[in-house]
Order: sequence, then structure tokens, then C-alpha cells
Amino acid sequence: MNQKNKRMTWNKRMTWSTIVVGSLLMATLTGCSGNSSQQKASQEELQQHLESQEGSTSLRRLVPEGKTVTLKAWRPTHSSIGTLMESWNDTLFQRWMEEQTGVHIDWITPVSGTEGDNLAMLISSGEYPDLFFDAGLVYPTGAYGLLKDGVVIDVAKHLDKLPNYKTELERSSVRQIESYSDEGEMASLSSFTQDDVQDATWYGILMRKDMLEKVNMEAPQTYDEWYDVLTAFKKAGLEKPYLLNSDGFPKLNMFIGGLGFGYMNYGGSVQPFYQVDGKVRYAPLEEGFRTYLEMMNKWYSEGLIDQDFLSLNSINAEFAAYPDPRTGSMVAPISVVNVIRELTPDKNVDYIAVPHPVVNKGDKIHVGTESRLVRSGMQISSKTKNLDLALQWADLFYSPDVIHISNYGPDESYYEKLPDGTYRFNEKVYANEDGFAAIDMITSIADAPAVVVSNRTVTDPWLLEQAELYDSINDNAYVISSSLTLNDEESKTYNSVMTNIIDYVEEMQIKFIMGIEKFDKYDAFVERIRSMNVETAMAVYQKALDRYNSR
Amino acid sequence: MRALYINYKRHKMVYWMTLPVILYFVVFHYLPMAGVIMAFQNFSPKTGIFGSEWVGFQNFIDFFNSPNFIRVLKNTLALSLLDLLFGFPAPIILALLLNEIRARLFKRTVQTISYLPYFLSTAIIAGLIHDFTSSTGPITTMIAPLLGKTANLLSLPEMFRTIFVTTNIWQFMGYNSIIYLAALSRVDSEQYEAAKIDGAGHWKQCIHVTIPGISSTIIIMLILNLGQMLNVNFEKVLLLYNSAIYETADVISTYIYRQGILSHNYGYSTAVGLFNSVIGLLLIVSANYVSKKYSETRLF
Repeated sequence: MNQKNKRMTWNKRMTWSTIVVGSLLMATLTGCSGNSSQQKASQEELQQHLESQEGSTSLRRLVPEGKTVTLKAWRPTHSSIGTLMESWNDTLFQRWMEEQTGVHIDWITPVSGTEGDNLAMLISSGEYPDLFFDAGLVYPTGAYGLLKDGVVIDVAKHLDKLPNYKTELERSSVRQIESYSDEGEMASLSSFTQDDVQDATWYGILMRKDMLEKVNMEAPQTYDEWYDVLTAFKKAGLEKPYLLNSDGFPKLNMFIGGLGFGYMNYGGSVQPFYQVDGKVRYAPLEEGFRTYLEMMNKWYSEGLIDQDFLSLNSINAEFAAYPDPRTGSMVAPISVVNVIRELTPDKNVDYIAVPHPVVNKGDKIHVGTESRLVRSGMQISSKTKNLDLALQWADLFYSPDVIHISNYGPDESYYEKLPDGTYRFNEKVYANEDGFAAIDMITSIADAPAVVVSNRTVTDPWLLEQAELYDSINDNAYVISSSLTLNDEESKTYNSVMTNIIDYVEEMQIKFIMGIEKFDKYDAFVERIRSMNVETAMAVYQKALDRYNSR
Repeated sequence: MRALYINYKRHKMVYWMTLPVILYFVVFHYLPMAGVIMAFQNFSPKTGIFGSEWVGFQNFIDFFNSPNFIRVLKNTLALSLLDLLFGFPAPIILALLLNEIRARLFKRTVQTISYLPYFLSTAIIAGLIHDFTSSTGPITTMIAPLLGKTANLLSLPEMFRTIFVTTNIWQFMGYNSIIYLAALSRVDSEQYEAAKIDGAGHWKQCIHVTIPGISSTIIIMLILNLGQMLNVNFEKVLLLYNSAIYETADVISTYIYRQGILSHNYGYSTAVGLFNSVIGLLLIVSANYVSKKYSETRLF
């Protein structure tokens, strides 16, 4: 064989192998895009179809018959739902929705505990999904921050394409006050509570019932009684009488309300401030904050708090610690009790909800967990190529048919109609054979509705009763609404000041609790916060609060 | 130019084969450099690189005036220097020891075991460390008599550097020794015979034959390490630290992460990152210069 010939064979072989490898690759790629039985709708026919039914309010196919379109959506999972389903597509509701509309949703689900980082990375990369769910909860500047940073569209500009949503929005004034910003923008399609009836508190303070009986003590009501009970628990051999999470502060303002301040409210967006009579306050500058840190420091040094509490830094870690029989008390979702009863290896372990602690018996509290009537909901990406589709899809969640099915699911065997016309999940959910928590069952059947029937998930009378423990002594007077918004200039000032302060305070609060920093340095700590210009940030917030109050 | 063309003609394939590598560097290392413009801007993702407000050196001034500047710089330098001081000689010593072993099976086994930690992901390593140093972990229990207390070791600021450096040694010593073992195998065996005839024992042979034999490798590795010095193992610090030990554990890269990614101060954190890179470049250039001056070996 001469040189040229050799080369020919070589080239031929190359060509062949390229073709083979190439076609294999193509096969994998098309395989990934899935759903081969249905054809993907082209951009033109989709647009034509959507335009033909603009303004329609009824449940309908959004994609031509026999075709399908995929939207991408970012959405964190419910913490324990992973055991029931692999992705949001597996909920009965989402399957039904896909059948009805022809829109397939490709969910991007961050690992639990890393939602904030995941979202930040996604946004830094510039590759946005079409839809965001609950993103405002983990974005540092909240839902409106996403709008300001140009990540999502201003929903207010598209209201004419959202007829169902518009009807729901205009149903009451509180819905409008809470949904619009001061500049008349709307960062998300709000989610509402049906008939504006407030949900019962779902976060509570739980204590071991069996241990209280063992040490022969009543459920504590004041902080002093708490100390006595925890000490008794410790003496009785419990390793972790009180679970504290890694911030050193329980979530959702629980446990600190009795000391008269609010701190790190996660009810929508993270706000370090609270208000008294319309005046903005910052917890670390208040006396109650020091009292709290001194108390925690005492509890920690006496071993009443888990010595490894710093590792309780994700929802996963928290859920792993809840059913631990070495735990004596904790701040957690009340419904977790059902999960604990299921999971704990020691069947004697049982929990009750105890009242929010106060300084003197009978004190009222003004800040705690407030369930909101209006929450920030779905957000639509500013870069979506299917804006009309996303709008129409989102709007369907507010149409009467979908409201009902998103609350109770498409399968009628899971719920029953009561004589008063309301609905209730039945034993198939509450006493399901596999022993799943009711809340997880509900999520896998009905998913998260945009208009929620209040107390839908707490038909367990025990839970409702426990929740009333908190609601009865709390008037929420100190809470700042999470729909308060800062304008561009204000948020710039706020960020430049508060980023450093929050970083500093979060470090110091832990050090005070652990005794790394001594309390004779506390005044210097407060002085340092002041020198970092906290007043400027508070003034900015004050302005925004004034605007909100005059809405 | 013509010489290059002739060379290209002759080694066509070789030139084409370098193309992916060049592309890799252009796409992933040179093009992103344009992003350093952000360091001089009040960057907002909405307006992008071309629309954001120009603030000159303001971000740098903010960083140098920040109370965290001294701390993160000190921690970064301390961790790197300690890592260099203890972590750099460790693989060399391991390689020298392995070189002395004649039983091949034993040598292979030790080598394989020492590589293993390198192939575990940092997240798993951090998980192991967390468990071992928790208040009831085996390491805590073991050193409790020395400390005089049982506490979660990762919540004690004074322990972090030790934990970080020792686990780094455990993790990288085996893998890093490979290059030295390769260098050792190239040392001329006639030199050993000559040394033996002159009456040198094992120790003397090591000092006068083995180490000079691999000194050029050591120096090259040292220069490379110096350039990397300020890039302490970011993931590992991030996974191990917590706000109680920022005092000793917060380094430049984790500070950038908190400020830039979590708090969205993109401009500011780019400025801090650029500062980090400039120092890194200065270190590598000066190390190279010193090495060039005092020995024959240099990188460029």
C-alpha cells in the first residue's frame, strides 16, 4: 500500500467514526429532551395559539393539541418531601396541570440548605429559568431585589394579560397594599389566602412531654422557669435540653418576643429591623438583645444547649436533630411532632407545644411568627423566551377550577365535602398506610396553591389548638411588613451599610453565647455597630416604613 | 517566522493538538480577565459591565479601610505560610522514606493508602472532620486531657489552623509525593555506589546524593506553590468555618464569597479578588527571581 492510499483509509476511518460518534451523541441529546411521543411546538404555532386565546380565563390547553412546550422553573423543595417523590413533576397536581395545559415544567430543585447559594450562582451565571418560585425568600434583597436587579419582570405591567390574577388581586384592599411596591411595581404574582382568613401559626416551641412528667414539672411560662426545667432535664440525664440553631437565634422571631425585640424575621425577606409605634429599631442596640445573649451564654456554659449547636446550620441538620431522643426542647414547625412520633426510636418520647416564654407571667408579646395574608409567589424571568406562555400558565393558578384542585388535588378520593360547603382531607391522607407525614402527603397530592384555603393543612385539631397558644398572646404590633420596599438609592445605602454590620453582629452574637467574647466588651460591641453607621440604614428603612404606612 | 512555518509543516499534528489547550486558556482564563473591570465599578447585573457606574478605586479603598481587611489578610497569610511550612516538606519526606523501602509489596500498599484521601471530595473530607471534632468525636476525646476541656474543636478559634494544616497534610501528602518519587527514580545509581565507596552511610547518601538529585524538582514545586499561596483551599475553609471562628478562619476567598455571591457586592468582591491575584503574581515573580539568582533552576 502506498502513502496516498494509506492516507485515504485513514481519512475514511476518521469520517466513519465521526459519523458514528456524532449520531450517538445526537441520540443522547434528543433522548434527554424527553417526551418523544409528543412533538415540540414551534415558536410560531405556539404564539399563534396563545394569541387566539388571550384574555380567556378558563382552564384550557396553552399549547396546540398533540404538541408540548417546556418551561424551566426554579423551586426549592419541601424539606422532607424527598422520600415521597423525586421532583415536583411527580405531584398529582402538577401531572394533572401538564395534561390540561400541555406545558411541561422542567424543575430546577436546589439541594435543601443551599437554596440561597444556588440561586445566587444561577443569577450570577446569567442563565435564568423561565419561572421562579419562593426565590424572594432566599434572595438577600427579597422578591423586589430580584426585580431591581432585572432578573424578573414587573408583573404590574402585564396585568391585562392576567385576567384571573387581576380579579383575585382586586378582591380586597389588603391584597393590593401588600402586592404593589411604593412605585407601583409588582415583583411577583402574590399568593393569597382565600377570603383573607389568616392561617394559624405553624411554628412553635416544643418540649418533651415525657421528660416534664419524669422531672415532675409544669410546662414553663417564664424565662426563669425555662431555666429551671432545662436544668432539671440536664440532671435527669438529657444531653441536649434545648436545641439552638447555628445563628444563636431561633427562626421566625420565636422565643425572643418576650424580651421585647424582633430579629431576623424570615417572613418574606430577611429584615433585621422591627418597629415600635412606627419607629424602626435595630435589635442589637436594645437592652433585650443583651439579656438574651447573657441568658444563652449561661445556658450554653451550663450545658443546657447542645454543645455542637453550630453544626445545626441547615434544614437537613435540624430535621436530623428533631427526633433525637437526647433532645429536650426546641423551636420548630409544630407539625414536626407528628414526624417525631413516627421517627423516634424511643417510643416514650412525646412532645407538647409550650407557651411562648415571657419575663413575667401574663405578659403579652408583640412579635412572633405571623402568618401572612399575602405572600410573594411566582416570579417570571426577564429573559424568558415564552413570556406569553408563562403569563397564561401562571394566570391559570388563579382561575376558580385550578384554585380548588391546587388546594385539594385532582383525585377526589383524598378529600370530602363537609356540610358547610368546605372541604377536608380524609383518612387516606391523615392515616395513610405508608406512615408519611400528612403535610408531605398533601404536598404530593395538591402541591402549593396560589390562593390557599386557610388552615387547609392543619385539620389536625391538636395542631390548631397548639397554634392558638401563640396567637392568643401575640398581637404582632412590632412586625414590619415584608412588602415594604426600598427604592434604588435607598437599597444602595442600606446594602453598603448593613452587609458589614450583619456580618459583624452574626459573628459577635455567637461569640457572646459561646463565651469567646466576654460581656464587659458588650458596650464596645454596640459602639462599633453605631460607628458602622447603623443609623443611616435605619433612617432609610424609616422612610420606607412611613411610605408603607401611608399606603 | 519562516522557521516557524517550516516547523509547523513538519509537526502539523502537534500544533493542532495544542489548539484545545490554547482555546481552554483563552476561553476560561484570559477572556474572563476582562471581568476585572467590575472591580472599578459599582456593578449591578441589571446594567451589566457596560452600563454600571464607574467608581475608580473606591472598592479598593473600602476594602483597605474595612475592619476585616487586616484580619482576612492575616488569616490568609497565616494559613498559607503554615501550610507551606508543614505541608510542603511532608510529601518530600514521605517520598524519601518510601525510597528507602525495599519490600515492594509494603511500599505499594503504603503508597496506595496515602493517595486515598486525595480522591475524596472536599465535602466528604469536611464531613469527616466535622464528625471527628464534634464535642463527642474521637479526636476531641483523644486530646481532651491536653486541652483540659471537651468542646467542639471547630468552635475554638485557636484550634482551626492546626486542624486545617494537619488535615491538609493527611489529604495531599500521598498524592504530592508522586512527583518526588518520579524525580528520585532518575537519580543516577552510580552516584550512590561512588558515595558508598567513599564510606557514606544511608543518612549521608540522602543528604549528599538524593536531595541534590531532586533539588530542581523541589525548587520548581516551591515556586509553583508560592504562586498559589494566597489561594488557600477555599472550599475546605468554607465547609469548616463558622462565625465563632472567623477570627482565625475567615480568609480572603471566603470573605469574597460572603460579600460577592451572598450579598451581591460584585464590584467590591472583584476588587478583593484582584488584590489577591496581584499579590499572588508578585510572590511568584519574586520567588522565581530569587531562585534564578541563587541557583540554576527557574520557572521562566
